[in-house]
Amino acid sequence: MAEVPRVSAPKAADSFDAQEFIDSHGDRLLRSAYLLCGNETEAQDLVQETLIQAIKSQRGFRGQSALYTWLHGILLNLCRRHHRKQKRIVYDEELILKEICAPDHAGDLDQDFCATKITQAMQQLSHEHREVIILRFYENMKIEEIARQTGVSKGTVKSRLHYAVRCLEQFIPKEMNLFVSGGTNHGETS
Amino acid sequence: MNCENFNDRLPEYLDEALSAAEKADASEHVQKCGDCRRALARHEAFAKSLRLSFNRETQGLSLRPETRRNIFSALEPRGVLLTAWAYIRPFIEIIWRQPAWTGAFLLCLLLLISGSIFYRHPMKNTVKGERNNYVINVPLQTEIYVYRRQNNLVVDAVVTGTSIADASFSENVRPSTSSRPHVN
Repeated sequence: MAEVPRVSAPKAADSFDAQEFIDSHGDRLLRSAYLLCGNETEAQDLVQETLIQAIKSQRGFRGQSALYTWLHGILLNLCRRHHRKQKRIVYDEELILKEICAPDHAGDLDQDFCATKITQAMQQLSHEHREVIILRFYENMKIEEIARQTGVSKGTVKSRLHYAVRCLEQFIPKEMNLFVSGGTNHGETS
Repeated sequence: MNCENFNDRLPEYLDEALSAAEKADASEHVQKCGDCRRALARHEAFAKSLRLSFNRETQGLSLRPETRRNIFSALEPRGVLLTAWAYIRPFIEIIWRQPAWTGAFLLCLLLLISGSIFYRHPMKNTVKGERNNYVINVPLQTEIYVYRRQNNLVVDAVVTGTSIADASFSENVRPSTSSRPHVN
């Protein structure tokens, strides 16, 4: 995802093209939102709200960070608010774990299966842990950038990352061998 | 640099955020220590697997046409009435969904407002607008006189007894009566 070009800030309302703005950042934001909330419909709603807020408050962007980073900050705030609203829903974690770690598909592990299992495992993490994993491994942010984006110290980011990786390790089937180079056997084809 | 330090500085090492001296130390340690070399390889393999899985899982996603339409319709300029309705509508929805809570809230609000209007402090009951207003009752002995009268003129007075009555002194009521006792 790092290869997506960073677009410069909109200078003025009259020269600002909302269509171009949405085309440049909409899909990328949607993918990040999908990983954050694990549901495409919710991700579409969150990105819709993010882009509306961003376009309405485009003058608030001061150019201190990349435009996408600023947009992603708005998305993170909306995701947190959404997550707080959803907190009342209680899942039966044991049932989900059984479903995730069921070895019946272990023989025909393919790329899509691995990707789906990892996304499902991501949903078992706490919101803070999921956030740092996505910022680090999907958005390719440095520790310092994650600290700035999430509003916590670098030490906290490192600690969260450490525990998030350990938790993720528990939730991912061991047959996938994520920690061995080429373990999921899908690196070369993507 | 030992293994513990290296593991602690691993994220910065991967970010290339270490100083030149620290980076040289870390590189030297990795070359010498097999455990840390394996830990580094393990971390990089994990990161690569995650990236590829995330990309694969999200590669077909794009904004729906209705999402785009919603964004543009939200950005269209509206009239005053429509804008006002957009602000009022959430409140009406809350009232519609939670009538009991809304009723309880309105009742509490009504009690609060009526309490603030009708409540009067006990110290404010004598003279309106004056502070530190108080009344002291002091028992005072008085004498009872019998007057002898001649041609409608009082010529003599004889004390026939005494009685005790309360004398009230009030402060800040009126300057003319403040120092004069009032015998009940």
